Amino acid sequence: MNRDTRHSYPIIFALVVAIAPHTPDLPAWIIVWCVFMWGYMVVRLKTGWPLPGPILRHILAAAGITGLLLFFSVRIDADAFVGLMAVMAAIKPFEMATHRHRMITVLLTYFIIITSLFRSESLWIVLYLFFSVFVTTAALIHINRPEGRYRPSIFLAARILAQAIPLMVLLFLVFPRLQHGLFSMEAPGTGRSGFSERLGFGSISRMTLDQSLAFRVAFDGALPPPNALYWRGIVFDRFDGTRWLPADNPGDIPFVPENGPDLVRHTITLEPHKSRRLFALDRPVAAPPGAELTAGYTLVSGQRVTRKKTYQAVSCIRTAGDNNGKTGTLLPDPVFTHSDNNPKARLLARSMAEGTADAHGKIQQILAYFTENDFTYTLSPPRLGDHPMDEFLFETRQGYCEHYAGALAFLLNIQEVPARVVGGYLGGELNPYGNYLSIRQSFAHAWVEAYTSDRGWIRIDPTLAVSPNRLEQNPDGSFSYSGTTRDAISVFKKMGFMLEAVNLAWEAWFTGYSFSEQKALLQRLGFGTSWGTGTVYFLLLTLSVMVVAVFFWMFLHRSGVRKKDPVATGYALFCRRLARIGLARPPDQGPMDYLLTVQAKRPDLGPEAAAITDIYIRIRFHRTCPDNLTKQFIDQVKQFTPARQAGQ
Amino acid sequence: MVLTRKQIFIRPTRHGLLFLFILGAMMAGSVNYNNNAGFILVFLLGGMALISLFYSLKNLTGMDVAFASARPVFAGQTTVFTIQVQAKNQERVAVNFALPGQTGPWTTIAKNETKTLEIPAETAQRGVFIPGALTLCSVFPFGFFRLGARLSLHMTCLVYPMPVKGTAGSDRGGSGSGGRADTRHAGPDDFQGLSLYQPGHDVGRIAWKAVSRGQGIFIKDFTAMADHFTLLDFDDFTSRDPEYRLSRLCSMVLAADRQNLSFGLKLPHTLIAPARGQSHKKKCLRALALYTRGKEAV
Repeated sequence: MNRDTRHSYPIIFALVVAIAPHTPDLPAWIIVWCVFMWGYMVVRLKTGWPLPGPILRHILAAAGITGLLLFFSVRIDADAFVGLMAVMAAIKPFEMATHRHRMITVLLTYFIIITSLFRSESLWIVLYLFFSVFVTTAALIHINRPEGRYRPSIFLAARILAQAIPLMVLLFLVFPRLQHGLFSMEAPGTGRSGFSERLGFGSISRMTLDQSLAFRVAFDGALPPPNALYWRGIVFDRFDGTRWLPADNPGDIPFVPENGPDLVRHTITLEPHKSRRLFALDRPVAAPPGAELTAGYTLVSGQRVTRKKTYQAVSCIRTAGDNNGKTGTLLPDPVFTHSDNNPKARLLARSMAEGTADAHGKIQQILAYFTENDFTYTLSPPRLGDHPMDEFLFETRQGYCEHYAGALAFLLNIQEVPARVVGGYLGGELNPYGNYLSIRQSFAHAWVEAYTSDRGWIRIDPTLAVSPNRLEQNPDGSFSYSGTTRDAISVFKKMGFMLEAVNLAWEAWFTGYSFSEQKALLQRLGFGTSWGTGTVYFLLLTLSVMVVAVFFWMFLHRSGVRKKDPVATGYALFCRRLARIGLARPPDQGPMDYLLTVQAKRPDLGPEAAAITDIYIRIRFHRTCPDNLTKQFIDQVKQFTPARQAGQ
Repeated sequence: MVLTRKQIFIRPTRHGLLFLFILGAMMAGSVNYNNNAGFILVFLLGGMALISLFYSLKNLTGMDVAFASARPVFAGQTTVFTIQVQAKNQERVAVNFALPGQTGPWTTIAKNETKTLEIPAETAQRGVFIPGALTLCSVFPFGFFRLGARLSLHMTCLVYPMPVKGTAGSDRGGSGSGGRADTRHAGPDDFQGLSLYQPGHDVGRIAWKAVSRGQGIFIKDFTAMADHFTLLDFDDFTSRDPEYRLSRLCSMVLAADRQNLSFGLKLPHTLIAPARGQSHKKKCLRALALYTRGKEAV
């Protein structure tokens, strides 16, 4: 096995493993690019094809960056960053001739691993992290071994990894967390955009294929009935001719019942979606900490949801409306009455309004219009033009929930019944193992709320008029939770549910572990009760970590704390005392010569100095000397106090 | 000399510093986004780097390094110190042995194996060459830390003077005194006849013509006159520079040995009686290497 082969295989493998979690988010051309480059490298090792020279390598790098610029234009976000890393990682193996390049490639691989963690913190990603670190470390050890097979490197990597885990767990638990980030920057690329702030025709039906999770809900008590599973997110009450715009949410606080039989408490774990909207069961009556309840009964978080967020919500699921709010003063938006878009739809609404004056009657009339005129419910409605209401109501007559909700709310407003479109999700998939509901992006839904003078805001779902089984069936064909039991589902589905339940339990603890949880844990262990703010705690812990590090260093360098030699200290004391009376020992004099000097100058000190010197020489130079001699030596030196003048 | 932990020093390598930097960047990102998975990765990598230190230490401690020998060379040449390294109870991976200012070999020694390594060192001047401490180091297993130790193995190497060929007039040459002819001494002077080849004889004197005729292997016999011995005298040079004289003498010793002459060497306070052969040559070269003014050093 030549050197090229030795080092290239493990590094390429480590790169592949590190990039793999990114593949769903990478554009196809980057994946093809990576596969091609790595494939060439692997084939080259077998066939001996030439390595691209420096010029070609630069051309490749330039081509990759040009591709990135064309694809991402000037968008500098997480996807572009990961794309750059992937493009570079693909051509990096071409220049691994030196140890330095190989080391840098491995370090780059570690960096690629962390980027995948900013996309998801699920149990699988964390488990995969260990695998990825293991593979990369084995490659790192391998390139630091001039010879040998893979096996010892793999074993050593596994051992070091396993031994580092206790340290990692400890640090993870005690490392101080900040309440807020260091820099007020947004997490790169977490989550996908769920609901848009504009509701056009087609904005929800676009989401039907997105099977990714929107949020999960666990209920404190029993699950509410399936016809109550409307998840309220955003309210649209203005129409600009083609799209619905969100409500301005003037600051009047809706009526909040303290208690009641219809109140449902639930905990929602929301996937990051880059917006400030929080979802809750229709209608939320209390806002979780850090969020506020708007006049449209929607929850708005103080900060954008860029990480997974868990919050508690209380909702009132009474189907009847409430009477609070803008009774009597509520008027439709002027755009409905004074505008010239969708003329045919306006005409239709006015002609229908002539028959009835009652809001309930008007609603029923429009719903009947949908059922009697061959309107069909479809996931792929045709595109609509400049007057979408006209086209939908008179030409295509095919639509998804947003078409029916939008049309109903539009017509009601023309008829001077205040109505608005509510965007959110409908239904939920029950996980029988975790007793929680999963709400996917494809469950997105839109319905209508109309204001009636007798019952206040009431919910009308025009989609049910067209497709009555939407309640039992999710848009992807799966059944809403009421339709299934544990026995009816397939083994794979069961396993999927089980894994999902495990992951949720993990995420609930792991991703939620932050400043307050850490404080609680440390307090339970008896720390930090009076430390107050996190900053003080942060500083203290950093300090103690540094102290531990210093001790660790000293442990490694035991010579740093050298024990002093008592005999040398004793003899130095002897010399110091003589120096004090003017008989300093010149540096070139040995003990015996020094003794002669002392004896010549101060004969009175002779015997004592001779005894001390004699013992010193015996300890130092004789092969055997009694153990107690050192002590005797030190005692004698201590008693030796020469006077400045002879005879005193 | 058995390596103990006390002797081992630890320094981060450039890659180690780069790793630390990357770890710091990862840490900053994790703190900023409160990303727990990021913390896990940072602590895992940091912990692994720390634990790798113990494997690095284990890789070196307990190794037994001993000086075996050093080949004498002429000044300016590269000598080779031979050392013996016992791996003892475990494998020693990728350890480098080098003398100051030199590059030495990287080696991996299997468990319980003993390896003989040759460490090169350049010599500059004649005498007893004492290289600096032997430095051994290793970056195994991660390449983030360089662990090493300096060992004083009391290695010495004899360095002969650099041979300098004479130019005309630079010296008066060796002088000789008379002696009896002794046919038992093989010498280059007069061809005496052929005698049967015996192992040990100089291959250069084989009578190839006789071999090609198929008569067997004979060697050509020469007789040197014993009175033709040469005395190489330190005081025979016009130059007063003792180092130059020693270099010239060294060259002459080598030349005389090549011609299989009988020669003696006269240095102040030292006289080596005329003789010939390998051991005689070495004795003379040693005397030249160790010459110090006014003192006999052989």
